[in-house]
Amino acid sequence: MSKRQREDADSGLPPTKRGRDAVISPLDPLSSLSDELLLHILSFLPISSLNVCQRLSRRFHALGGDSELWKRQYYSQWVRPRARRLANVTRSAPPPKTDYTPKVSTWLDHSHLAEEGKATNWKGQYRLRHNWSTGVCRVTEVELPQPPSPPVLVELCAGVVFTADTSHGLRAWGAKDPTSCLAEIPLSNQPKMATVRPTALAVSQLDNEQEIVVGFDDGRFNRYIFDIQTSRLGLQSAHVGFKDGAITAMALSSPYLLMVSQYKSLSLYNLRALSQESENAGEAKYPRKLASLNAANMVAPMTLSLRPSSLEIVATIVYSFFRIGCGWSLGIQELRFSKDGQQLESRLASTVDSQYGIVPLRGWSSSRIRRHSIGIEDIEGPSSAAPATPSIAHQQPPTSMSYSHPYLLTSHADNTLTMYLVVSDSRSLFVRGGQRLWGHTSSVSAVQVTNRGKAVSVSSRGDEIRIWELETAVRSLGSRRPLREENSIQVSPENKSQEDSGLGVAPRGLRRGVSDSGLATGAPRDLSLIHGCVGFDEERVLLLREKTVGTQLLECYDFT
Amino acid sequence: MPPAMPQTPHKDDLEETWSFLEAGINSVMLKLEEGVDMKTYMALYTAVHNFCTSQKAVASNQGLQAHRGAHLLGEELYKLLGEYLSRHLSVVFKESQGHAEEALLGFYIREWTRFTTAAKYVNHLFSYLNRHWVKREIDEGKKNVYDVYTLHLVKWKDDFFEKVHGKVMDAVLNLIEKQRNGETIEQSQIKSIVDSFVSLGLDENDSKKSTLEVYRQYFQRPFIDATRTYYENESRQFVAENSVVEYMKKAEARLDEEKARVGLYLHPDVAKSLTETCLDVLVTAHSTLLRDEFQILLDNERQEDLARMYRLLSRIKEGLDPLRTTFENHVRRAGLAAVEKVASEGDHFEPKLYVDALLQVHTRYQNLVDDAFNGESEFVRSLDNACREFVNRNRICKATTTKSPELLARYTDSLLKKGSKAAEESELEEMLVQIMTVFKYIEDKDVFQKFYSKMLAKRLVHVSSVSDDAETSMISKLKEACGFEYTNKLQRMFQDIQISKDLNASYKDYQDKVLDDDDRKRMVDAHFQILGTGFWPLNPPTSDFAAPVEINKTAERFQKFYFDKHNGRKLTWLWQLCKGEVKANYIKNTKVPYTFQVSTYQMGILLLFNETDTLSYSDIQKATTLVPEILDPNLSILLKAKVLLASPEGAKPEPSTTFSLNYNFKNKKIKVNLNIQIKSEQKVESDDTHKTIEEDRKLLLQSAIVRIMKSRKKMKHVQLVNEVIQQVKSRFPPKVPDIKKNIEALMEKDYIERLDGDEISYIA
Amino acid sequence: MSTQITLTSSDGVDVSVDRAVAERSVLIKNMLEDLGDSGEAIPIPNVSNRPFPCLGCVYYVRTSSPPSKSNGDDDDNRRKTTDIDEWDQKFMQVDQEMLFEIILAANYLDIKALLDVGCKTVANMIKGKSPEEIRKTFNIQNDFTPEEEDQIRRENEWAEE
Repeated sequence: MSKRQREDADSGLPPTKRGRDAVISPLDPLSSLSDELLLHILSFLPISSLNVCQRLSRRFHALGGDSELWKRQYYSQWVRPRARRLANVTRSAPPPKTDYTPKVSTWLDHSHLAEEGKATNWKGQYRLRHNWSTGVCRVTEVELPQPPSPPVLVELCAGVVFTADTSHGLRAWGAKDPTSCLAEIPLSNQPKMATVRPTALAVSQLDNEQEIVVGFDDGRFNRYIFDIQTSRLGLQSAHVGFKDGAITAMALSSPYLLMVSQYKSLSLYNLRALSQESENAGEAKYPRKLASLNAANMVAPMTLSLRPSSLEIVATIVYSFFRIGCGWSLGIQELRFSKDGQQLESRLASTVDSQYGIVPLRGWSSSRIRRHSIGIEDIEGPSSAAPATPSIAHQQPPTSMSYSHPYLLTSHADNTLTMYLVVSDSRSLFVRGGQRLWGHTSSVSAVQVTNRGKAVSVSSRGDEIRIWELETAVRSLGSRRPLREENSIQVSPENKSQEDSGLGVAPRGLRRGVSDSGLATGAPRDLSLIHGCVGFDEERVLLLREKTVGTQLLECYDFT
Repeated sequence: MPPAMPQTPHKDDLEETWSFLEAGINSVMLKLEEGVDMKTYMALYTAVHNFCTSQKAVASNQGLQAHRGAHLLGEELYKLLGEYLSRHLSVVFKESQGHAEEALLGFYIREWTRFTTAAKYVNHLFSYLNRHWVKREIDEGKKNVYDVYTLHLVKWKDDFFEKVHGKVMDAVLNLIEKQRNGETIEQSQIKSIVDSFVSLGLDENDSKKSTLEVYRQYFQRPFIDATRTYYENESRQFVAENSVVEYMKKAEARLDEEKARVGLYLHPDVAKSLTETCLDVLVTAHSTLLRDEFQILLDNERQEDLARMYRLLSRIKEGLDPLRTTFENHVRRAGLAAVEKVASEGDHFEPKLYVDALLQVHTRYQNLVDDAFNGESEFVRSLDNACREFVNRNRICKATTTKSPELLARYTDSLLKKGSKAAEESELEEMLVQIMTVFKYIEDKDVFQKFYSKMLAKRLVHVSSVSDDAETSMISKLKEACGFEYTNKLQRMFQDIQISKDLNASYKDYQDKVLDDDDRKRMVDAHFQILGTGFWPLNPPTSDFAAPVEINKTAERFQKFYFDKHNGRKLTWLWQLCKGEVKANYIKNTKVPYTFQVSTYQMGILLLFNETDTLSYSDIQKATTLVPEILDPNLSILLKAKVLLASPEGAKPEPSTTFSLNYNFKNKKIKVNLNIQIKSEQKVESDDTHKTIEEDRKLLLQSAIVRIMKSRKKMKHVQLVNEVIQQVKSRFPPKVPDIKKNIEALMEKDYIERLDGDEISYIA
Repeated sequence: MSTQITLTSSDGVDVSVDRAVAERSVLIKNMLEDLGDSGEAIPIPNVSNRPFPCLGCVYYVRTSSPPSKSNGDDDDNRRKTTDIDEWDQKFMQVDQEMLFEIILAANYLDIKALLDVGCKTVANMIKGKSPEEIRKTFNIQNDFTPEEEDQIRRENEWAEE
């Protein structure tokens, strides 16, 4: 029963002085150790060595991919540094304990990785984070023939891409393999009305399905359900939203739907509640319109956002306006509703002060309560304190904007992005600090941000995609010093860079920085334009590219 | 050679390993007292170790995808151990059914001790399992996997505790009830049960921590419920059969007893809810009954019982509030009754009597608050409220609230005047402190100030203060209570007297230099006091007075000296306050001539008789230029004292009367005091003081209004009135109509003006 | 209470060590706690004589240096670095067979610090080597098909330095 092994193949050590030599040693002393001991040994290795070990044998392949090992690596690589950073940002002494603990629920907000009864593939998670952080991904392109007008609408939600256009109707594509269409459904069940044009698209994740709402140019909107298991799309109901014009923008957070018409009417619906307006006999009983407002003064581009909480629904409209002296600014109109649609409060803030570098005092009257009207108010700042020139001044309207509380980002034709942090609590609404983000080498055409501070931006020619981690940038908010590249990484699709560079044996995962933008101009894609449509989820970035020839390309950058 | 090492089972064989382990665990569980020998111990540990490290071939042909990674061994052992424990505990449970009450407790504790001791051993024997397989399961977030020791506890809880806790608790509660009924019990048994219940509280999220959940649910809750029922019954019965006072004693004793119980054998966690329950049942439930007794106890001055009631009711929420009102009313009634008694003795009582009556009531209840109510601030406030009421509004000051401060001032004067009975300085000081106690409650503090300064002036002018120290002590006390402004004038008066002393000294030097012999012969030995006009509550003489030549000369000389020193000042002679002594050399029937102590007016009259023996009324009036109102009473005194004789005999001083010197004057004393205050003067003085108070109040209100308006510029009328009240209430309680009247007055004088909407604005 | 404890190895050799030293093994510590020190020799059935004296002397010497490294508080820092201090390094300069026996013995006896040093030493032997070199060092059998091997290589390319 003794476990002594003998190994004398290539030990190169002096002969041992043992009394007993009748024991036949197995050839492989390492593999004869039990799993817990090998795990202990492997726990001292860096990830590169872990990967090497996986190539030794079947047993080591299993051990080297061990989830608990990778969980620990994941923690020390991604969670602990963030915990330390956050501790620095908030300067809250004492800093939180950063020792490794196997309980994922205590890892800041990584608890979604450890849902009950779900075995997480920690190595996979590690690799995903690794790829995001280095910009390494694979790109897949789908060409959409016969570009319709208006262009295709695209949304990405939890691994499924939805597109809507006049000729093909609503389609769902698997983001993992966007070359094949999962399901499709015409936008109108009456063939004669085939001319209807979709103008807005919104998707929201439910338990086992996804809810899709398509808005049309005649003010109507349809509600669809995509069943994830069976990959089937089905029309749930059709409604008249606005009687007077196209739906230009929507925000959906089931069961609430917020939309705005081309004539700046704004409506909030509860898709699950019974409608009260039963006089329209032809209409379905759902949804109930909770509120309807007029927004006369808002200027495009604008973006809508819905934040339901346990007590209320916060609807936010961010719009741009021109202000003499500091150029294009953003206005933020926040409407708070109770669950039954009672408007509780309406308040307004703007980025003007932040553009001047003024740190607003808490509760300064930049927010006012006004009912049933929305518009730009001339917000007075404490003029005496303002510097003569704003540190952030845009002479052109933003090319796109994205608001996911508390992050508000705009992209600009001058190669920059601007980030604002919105503070919204029970007492006040204001913008805390503004910050320009540098990194792009050409005009930026689209940006998208999540509420965790991860953002993706695209240059107008689509040859430059950047990923931003803004959580740390919050620290330098309000300083006049712009942020440089260190907070962002350029996406470099490994399969594409090879073919583009024309160098044949270009290293994998080459990061195409500023220097090789010249190379890119020579590439055939240089004439294509990003249509201002970009989306991303945990694993992928989705991009809609328009070629001058008239075709549209759907590109999916996969980081797994 | 030591005993042979037991053969450890084959590491790959689960059945063999387990049956070997089971036998070992069995002997630990059941025969631990016989001891475990070291070889068996090591063999058991080794068996677990060997099984877990046995490298059982995991089917390795399952491709390369979807590996969870390492595969640790031990799950089978863990499962088998769990099953073994369940079996073992079901036997224990069967045995327990043969016991009840205290025997059951004994059984439970015995079994618990045995089981947990064994668990510690088994935990060590299985420590290899804990270190690897269990740790990994927990790391992976598996629920319901515990380290081996905790597994024992979990099994105990699930397979034994859940079935018996009801019976065990019944026994525990019976035992506690016995103790509450006065029997002696085995406390350590309950303590062991508590400890066991506490140990069973496992934190689902962290097996290393324990929670009190099990203990709270299975012990605390039934225990609290039983406590409530027990005391509900007991107190109901006790109250029915005994007095409230007895009940309070009982309740207090019970509360102490329960508090001690926690320390003896319960978990400290229970203390709060136990106390709350007991208070709820013993005090809150009977609080109305207790409060009803409060008045009776006050009436009978049952200090000890009052203290007990305070202690009980102070521990429940808002328990004391109703008592405070009762107490306040009671003190007020006591105060009013005391004053009533003083008043019933007629109008002319000594101020001392009145002040003493007030003080006595205050002292009595102050002591009660301190001793029975722990000096609690809310009771102090009730006492203060009551005192303020009966000091300012009682029968004696029914007509006007200013009577109290006047009487207090008079009493103070009587203490500080020469000849007061409080000879001892410390005694005097104590009385002054008492005066301040009453003063604190006086609302019309300005009235006190008025009277006090009048009397102080008199004491100073007449040099009749008992001591300078006592005077300064009193002034500093008032200053402390009301601030610098309140005593400013008093202090200045005091200073003037000091300065005058120096002045007289230097005047004496001056006199020595300038006087010639002739002057010296006719010199009057004089003392002068210079009193600042603004500080002294004194009026100029109400009558002209031609001073006798002798005095006039001296006065003129002093005036010359003074004006040399202080050019441009004006001196007014307050003849009515001056006094002097004259020697009656003309009376020959004594060896030593009589000395008359007289006022200056009297002196003026008497000196006229140096020239002649008889003078008519008009002669005297012409010579002195005194008005009859002054002249007549003074002549009366001289007549009464028989220094002068009237003719016709017995006539009153009137124009037809003539006066002659009485050469046959006789008196027992050599020094005869003729300077007696005239009765009517006193009354007039008091009325005058009241009149000046009204005048002063008007000024005070107006200056407050102007001050406020100057700083605020614009103000609503109502606001202004409130602000004024705030500012002056430390002096006297202003009446709103008075304030309004003064606002009107200031408008007329164009200090302020009325704007639209009830607003008032200041005119710069 | 005697401060010397006698341990008997699986092949029947007795070693006498300080009780404090013996208690660096959690197994022995627990046992002495549970059973008390009867003065009997403690049988250690799973550890042969060869690394046995080493364990004894290691921890005899090591007791003079503070055992601060052996506590698991700073788990991550400990794990991050495979640095082994000089003394340990020297101690671990033994043949491979001995090294694995020490690891097994430390694991059995539950001597955390020694187990860590042993495992770190093995980890250092793995670090920086190619799969082939590692296989050679430990004589590990490659049981992959060539296709599988290629697949794994591609899967793990991303993490290469």
